[in-house]
Amino acid sequence: MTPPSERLPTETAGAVALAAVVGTVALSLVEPTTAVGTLAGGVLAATLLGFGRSHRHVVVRSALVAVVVLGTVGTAGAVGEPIAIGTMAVGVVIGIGLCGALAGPPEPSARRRAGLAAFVTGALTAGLVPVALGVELAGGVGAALSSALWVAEPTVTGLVSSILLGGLAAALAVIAVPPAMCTVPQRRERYITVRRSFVASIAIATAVTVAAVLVVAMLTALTPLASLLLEVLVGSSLVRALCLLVTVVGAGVACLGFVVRRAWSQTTARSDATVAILAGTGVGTVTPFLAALAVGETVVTATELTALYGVTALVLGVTLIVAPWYGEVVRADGPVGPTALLAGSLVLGAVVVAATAEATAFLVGVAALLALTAACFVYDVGRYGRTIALEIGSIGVDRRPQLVRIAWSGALGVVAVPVGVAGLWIATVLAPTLSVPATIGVFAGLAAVGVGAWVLWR
Amino acid sequence: MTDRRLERVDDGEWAFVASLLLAGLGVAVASPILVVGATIPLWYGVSAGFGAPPDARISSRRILTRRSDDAADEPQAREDGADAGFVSADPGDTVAVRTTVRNTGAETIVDLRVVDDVPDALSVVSGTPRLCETLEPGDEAVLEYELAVHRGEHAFGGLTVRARNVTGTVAETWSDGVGGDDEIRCHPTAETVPLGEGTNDYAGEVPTDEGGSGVEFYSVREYEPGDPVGSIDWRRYAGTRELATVEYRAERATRIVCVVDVRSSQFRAATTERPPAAELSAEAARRTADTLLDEGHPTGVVGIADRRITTVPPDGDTTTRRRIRDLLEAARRAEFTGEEGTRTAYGDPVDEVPRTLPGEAQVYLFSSFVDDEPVELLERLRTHGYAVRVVSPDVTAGPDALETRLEALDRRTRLARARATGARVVDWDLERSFGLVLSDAVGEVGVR
Repeated sequence: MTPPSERLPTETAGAVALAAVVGTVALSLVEPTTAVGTLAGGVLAATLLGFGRSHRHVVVRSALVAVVVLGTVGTAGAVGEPIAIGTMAVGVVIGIGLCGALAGPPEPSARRRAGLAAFVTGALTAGLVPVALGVELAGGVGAALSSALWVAEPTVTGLVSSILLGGLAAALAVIAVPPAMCTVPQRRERYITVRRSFVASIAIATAVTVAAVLVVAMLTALTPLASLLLEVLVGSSLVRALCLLVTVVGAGVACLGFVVRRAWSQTTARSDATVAILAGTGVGTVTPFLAALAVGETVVTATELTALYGVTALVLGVTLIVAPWYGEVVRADGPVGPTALLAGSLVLGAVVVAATAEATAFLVGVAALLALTAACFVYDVGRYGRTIALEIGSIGVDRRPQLVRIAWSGALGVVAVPVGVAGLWIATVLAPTLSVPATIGVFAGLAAVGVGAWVLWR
Repeated sequence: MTDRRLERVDDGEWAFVASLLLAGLGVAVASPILVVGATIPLWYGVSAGFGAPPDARISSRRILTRRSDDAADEPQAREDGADAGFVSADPGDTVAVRTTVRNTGAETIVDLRVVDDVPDALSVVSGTPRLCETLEPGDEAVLEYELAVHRGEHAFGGLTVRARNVTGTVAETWSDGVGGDDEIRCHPTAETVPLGEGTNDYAGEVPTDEGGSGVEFYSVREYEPGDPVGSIDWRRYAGTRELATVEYRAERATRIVCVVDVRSSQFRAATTERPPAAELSAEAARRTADTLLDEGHPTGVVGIADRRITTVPPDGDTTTRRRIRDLLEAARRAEFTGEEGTRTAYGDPVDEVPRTLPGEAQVYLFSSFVDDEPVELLERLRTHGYAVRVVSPDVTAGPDALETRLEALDRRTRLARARATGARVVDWDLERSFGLVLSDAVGEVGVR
């Protein structure tokens, strides 16, 4: 039997999307950031839907998640106005809801992968905040790099420490990489043997290098050549850069290896997308960071970079906390449903726009009324579509009953908007004669008529 | 038509709540726009009071059609003369269901939702038993879907119907009886002996529980690089932009060997008037072999006499069919005289029979189980991994003598041991025909 669907029937989904677009356009005429937010939300939702596909797609989408979130947060930061940021946030929710209404909820596997991608992106952005802070405190990229090179003092002890750290990181990297990344199960034992040899080689190479440095240090008392050589070794930026590179790459590979090892040992699915997610989020997070550092202070200052990555990490953290609740709420058989959230976002946008507008801003009022009507339509038709999806499923539903219901709800909106606009026009013309209390009186009268009619017809 | 339940599914409370909240907010922030905006949900709230309850009258009729190979078998009428009919099908068949719903009232039903009550044990393999339609007076809507059939008698329920008025605020729900066919009966007869699960790796006609390149739909899985383009579910891709690969049920070849026990112990019967087990087993084996050969399965026979085993190797040609008949005819008389095309081995059947069987085969063992040797043979076959079905004529039923009762008790114990090995056992009560016995075996197998 066709299971009840979580997806709205086609005609209903189309009508809901159209109404949401009308409402968003109306809000965007007043606050253009709403459109930006909706676009970002739509792209984000479309990205999340694709997480269920092949690993190649997962890589691209993981990178996109990071880029879109960073871009949205960056845009919001550039706008700066609290109201504009608020409507932008509302736009993001509208975009996600719009995509959800049209395409239905993502597959559970896609949700899990998207959650992991968001988590890794959050962790990486949070991890890059200290780096950005370091660059800021050092006074630039060059100064920061120099500081990193010479964290260990330019002494024999410092050089030996750098070499040991590099060797340790390289050995850890070799140990941490899961065998399944390099070989097939049949050759696992052979791989383990080769790996042991590698680690032993690294340990010997490190010990030999350290011993050589120490020998050179001891020979300084005997020959001036040794003294000169030691001075070159200890003070060489190239040597330190090499040690730093080995340490950073080794530590990175070791972290990646441990994470992948843990993920693979816990997975029960046929394939695991952890590597794809790590690769995608790594590219999506680190590349903009390096690009921002490369273009220099004239475009993005270190302070702005710190704020951008800090806020992004915060936003992703909050999102991860809210996401399970959101997922529960917008389930087709949940307490609210996906279209209710879309309607709620439109109402919120309309309230923000209306509450911050001047009392005489007629066009702002019309836009808010349009958004409110769109919200009512989306809620009403969306709820109808949800009952069909749960009772019948997305197939087996003819378009005629849907169109009748859409036409009825649309007709109500078509009547409600002109009446509301007329009322608003009267209120604007008569302002300040028709004050808020007077408007309330008009509303109360209308409400009394409405409730009376409702009771009568029931 | 029973228990019509009328309910108001939308009172418009949400709209009144939204209206009050907007008005309150408008007052709080002194925004006339919000106060005016509060009138908009009010329209939706008031509209919830409109609309009379739907006056829906429908009639419905269901037609079941068995899809077997290319032909569509018509349903049969009930023997008790009832209007409702049934359709007989074999396990694995597909039955097409066509339920027509007609608006017999005088008003248009704007939103009619119908769910056909599919038997719990059956699964829908295509189409949907649910619909939502708008029906003008006299118009019809059709529910079309197909069910995969399992053994048993599967009765359909009525329709669950829900009609909503034009505003979608009042719904009437009831259960409606359906005319026409209401049952699928799935009892294989002797002529449709079900095959087991033992197959080899070659393509054939026996559906298996694995995906592959057969004909019947098996599953949809996530696309993996390298999957053939032709197996991609393009319809799903068009709808969701997700690549998925359709797998069909792999069909493998199988060989079947009927092992017929005609040792001297099998020439016993409860009374002299009754045929001995050997004769019954040979006849049952002949009918089974004929059916399997007719279906194109390579079939052979192994006849077990005392310390002598005669074999016709599995094949599907007419010569094999003739040799099988000759061998079984000789087996009835316990006269294995080295018929043409047979192989003969000597020794303990428990040791020798597994050596004569091909590597991948299904075994039908025909024996009365009046001694322990068939049980030992069965255990040996199961150890070798053969799928075995046992057909055991009950030659102990009959006169109520103490010896017969004791023999029957021993036989039942042996059959229980046979079942414990995982073999499917048909205990053939001689009062019933062979076809009916196999029908009963379905239930027996189910609870084993």
